Amino acid sequence: MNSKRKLTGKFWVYFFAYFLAIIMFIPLLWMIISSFKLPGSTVTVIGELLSPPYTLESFKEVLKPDGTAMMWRWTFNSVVVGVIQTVITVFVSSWAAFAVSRLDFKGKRLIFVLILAGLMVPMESIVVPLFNMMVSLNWVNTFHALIWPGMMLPLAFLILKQFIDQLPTELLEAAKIDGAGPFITWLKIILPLSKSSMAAVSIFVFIQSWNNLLWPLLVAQETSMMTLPVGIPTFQSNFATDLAVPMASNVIASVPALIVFLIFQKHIIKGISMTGIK
Amino acid sequence: MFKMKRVSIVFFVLVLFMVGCSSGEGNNTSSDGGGEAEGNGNDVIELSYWVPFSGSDGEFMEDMVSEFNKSQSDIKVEFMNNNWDDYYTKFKTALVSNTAPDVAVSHVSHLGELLPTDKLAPLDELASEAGLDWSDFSENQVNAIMKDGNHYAVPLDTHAVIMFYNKKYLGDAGLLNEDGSIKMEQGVEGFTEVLRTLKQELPSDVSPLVIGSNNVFTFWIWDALINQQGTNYIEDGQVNIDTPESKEAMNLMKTWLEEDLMPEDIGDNSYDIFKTQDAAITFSGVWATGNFETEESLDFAAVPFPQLYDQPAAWGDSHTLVVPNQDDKEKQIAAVKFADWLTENGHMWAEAGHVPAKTSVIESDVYQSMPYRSEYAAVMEDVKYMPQSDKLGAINDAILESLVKINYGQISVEDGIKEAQGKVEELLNK
Amino acid sequence: MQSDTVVKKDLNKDIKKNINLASKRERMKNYVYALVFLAPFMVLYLWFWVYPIVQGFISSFYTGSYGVEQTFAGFENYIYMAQDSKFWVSFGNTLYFVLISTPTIVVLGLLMALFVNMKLKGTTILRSIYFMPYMLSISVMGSIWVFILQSRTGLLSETLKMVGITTEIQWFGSWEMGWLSILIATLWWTAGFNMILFLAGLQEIPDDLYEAADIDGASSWKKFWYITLPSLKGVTAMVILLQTIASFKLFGQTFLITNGGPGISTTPLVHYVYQIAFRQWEMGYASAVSFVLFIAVLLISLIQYKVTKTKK
Repeated sequence: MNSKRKLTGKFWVYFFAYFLAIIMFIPLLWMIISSFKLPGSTVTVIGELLSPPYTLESFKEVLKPDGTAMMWRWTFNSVVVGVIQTVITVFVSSWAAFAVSRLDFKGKRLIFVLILAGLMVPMESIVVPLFNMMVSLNWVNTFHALIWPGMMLPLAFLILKQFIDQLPTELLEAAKIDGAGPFITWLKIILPLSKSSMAAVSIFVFIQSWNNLLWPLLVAQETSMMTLPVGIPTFQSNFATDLAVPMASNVIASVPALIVFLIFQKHIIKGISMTGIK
Repeated sequence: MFKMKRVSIVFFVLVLFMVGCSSGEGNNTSSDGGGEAEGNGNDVIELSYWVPFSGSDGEFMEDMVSEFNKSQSDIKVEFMNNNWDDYYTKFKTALVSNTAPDVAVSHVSHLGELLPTDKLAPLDELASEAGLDWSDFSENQVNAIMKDGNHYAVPLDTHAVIMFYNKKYLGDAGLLNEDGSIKMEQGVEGFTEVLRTLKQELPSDVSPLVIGSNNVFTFWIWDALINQQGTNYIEDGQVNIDTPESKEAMNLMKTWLEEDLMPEDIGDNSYDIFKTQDAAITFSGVWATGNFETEESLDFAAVPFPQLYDQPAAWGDSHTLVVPNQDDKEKQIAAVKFADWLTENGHMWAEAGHVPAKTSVIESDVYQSMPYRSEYAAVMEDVKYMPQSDKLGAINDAILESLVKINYGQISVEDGIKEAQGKVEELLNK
Repeated sequence: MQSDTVVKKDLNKDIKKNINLASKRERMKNYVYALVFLAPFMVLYLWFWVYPIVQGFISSFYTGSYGVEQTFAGFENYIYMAQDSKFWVSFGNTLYFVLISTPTIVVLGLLMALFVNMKLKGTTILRSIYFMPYMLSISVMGSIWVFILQSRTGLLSETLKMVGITTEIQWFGSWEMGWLSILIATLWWTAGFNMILFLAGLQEIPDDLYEAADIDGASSWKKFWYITLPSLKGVTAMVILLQTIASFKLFGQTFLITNGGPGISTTPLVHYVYQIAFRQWEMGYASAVSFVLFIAVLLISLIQYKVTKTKK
């Protein structure tokens, strides 16, 4: 009897787990099927959605060279901004974390507290002064404006510092005895050892950048400077009744991210959980 | 590990290089475009051009731009359509950050907000070099774009909110006269009665009336209705919202909503609902005409906004073209030339539904032979413009918020109108 | 965090010992090294974080439309804020979203993590599907949900019509429904992220705890209640903190899905700041409201820090 109860329990677990998965997958599936329908077809009616013809017309409409969408350009911009922000944040924070954690100098405590305080400042609360700064630097509509502000420096610093703090002192002592200066120490010891936490921070920073809407909305005005989060709604506002074409643009915008996810799934998941545990 | 490091360094350098290039590019096209112009005189002048036509009129403007580009080889205009709702946020941001386009559309009502930035160029000198003649425009249109004795914009059109109705549905309900006009008694009751008859006679999935009850259409219709009762929301610099006339207007709209004569919460879909024949009547802009005409099965008529109170009045505004300040005077002259071409070819713009600004265009045979359009010119006489204020955008936003709250039953008509009055007073006193 | 400071104290001791031995020259050298390592970080940090914070604080004491001269106004902006009903509504909206999103995201995230952790058949597929929405760009997510939920022409509305339910549900039509729509979209989008955090927490629980419980003959429900849940306290606290802060930073969803409406029903704080700054052009007042946002997030972080500290 006990095993029977266990079996029905198991059934319900399977049922709910897959039910949830199906519910969550429907919007994605709908997006994909809709995008293969002809422009202007009523994709919200399931009967029509599931009957052929399926074509690439909607994609052609999005990607036509004289159209208003610049999907590849926006994807490129998003990737470039994300990658540069990530690389800079991770390396710069790693150096600073190493200095605060392992070098001895006056004012260290002060600097640590100053950075820690920054952890609690959301970028959203400083967009107004940041925007004024971009105006006076003449950076509006440039990559500078998209890249430099809003890097998650304090968070990256803190995570990397906590990691470097935990490294055994003997390792560094040994390096010192071998005559290695701090530069060599960082390059030969800290960098290889903190590889995984740096990767974790990278994923976190990149996703944050990938989804930033408010800031590029303000500083990327030219179509050619927009990132995906800004470009997609701008393009879609031209289509009031037609859903097939906007859905095609959604698919184009999502495919690179989903491919990256499927390839690096393990790393991404590990990255997030490492950042989370702190 | 070291492989990863090397890859990332290479990537880093590559990307930095790209940033260098692209940002340089960006600077050239925006503020200091001097470098290009110095080259040689034979170069094509490239103009960036922003418009807020996310309604259905954007396609007509896009066609005009490509027509202009084909018509000559000196100037090439690059067209960028923007979401109507955010347009002034974006345009003013661009103006203050010196990244504005070379030429842009502005509503005449928003000039009051844009001019204090001192970023729009006075056009008199440029116009004479570009060969634009102000006397082609009607006097009150020219007056609206003057400040301190200078012209600041080139009028493109006037537009208004009018009434569209589906002839088939009104015929089915026995509401059409022989000449195709609506059989209805004068005044509020007469109109509401028409809606009630429609509700009775038509299939249940067809709404008698459709208006965006959560968007700017609500504001436009409220504005028309208070003007029909002889008031406006700012009079002689005093806020005049908390009035019996305002309440009357909103009570009327509430009646329509509560009796289910118009659907609630349709987002921005009012154009489509009428176009796909899910509604019998809509109040919409003249600019929707060209859009409705693309649906061949739709047999509709376009008539002036109905007079429900003492005097005829309708919400209206006017598109103009403005030229932001920049050092490159060549570009500015080209921009005025382009603006002049647009107004000169106003009959193309009239295909969307707008009434052209130049009298010569209105009188032309091409324009007069278009369906509906010739009557629109008469509609414009009833248009009541919005009050002038350098905070008009914020004021209209604030009023709309309260009106929408009323429509959605979040606040009573009485309190909602009072709230709007209070908010606008605060804005003006700031 | 506690254990870190212990490690650090030990470290400091070590370093102090070293200093006593080190020559003055070496100390000087250390100084230069520290400078070199810290400089890039500090330049960026001071330029793009510290300076704007100070600047924003200063400009919150000024009034005047943007692009026109600003005048010093003392506390005027803050006094205005206290009486500004829209500010309080948007603040209330923000708190409301914290209230509805935090428990749901904890439950859903935990549920997903448990499913994935049960070693069911097809675990990888489950995990992928749960997490996938998080990889979409916020704008893609927003437009999908608008197309699904919009009344009359949305996927949901048409499907309900097909099965014979003709009552229109107005998903964006009221305060409650507007927030419900945003909640649904947010859950769909970010629950997967929280699942990963819980999953990491679950995998940290040592197996012998369960083995011991098995020997005692505990039911799986009891195991969940007495072992799993208590062990996840830390992760849960973090998910709550992250979700609270995310709610205070909420902008994209309301901007893309409801545009803050109807009226101001779904306008949270950041959205209001955006409107004040870039629709009304009151940069001073926008800075003042931003400052309140900043203080709120600061307080939440401090409370959270305090709570976890006393617990341990």
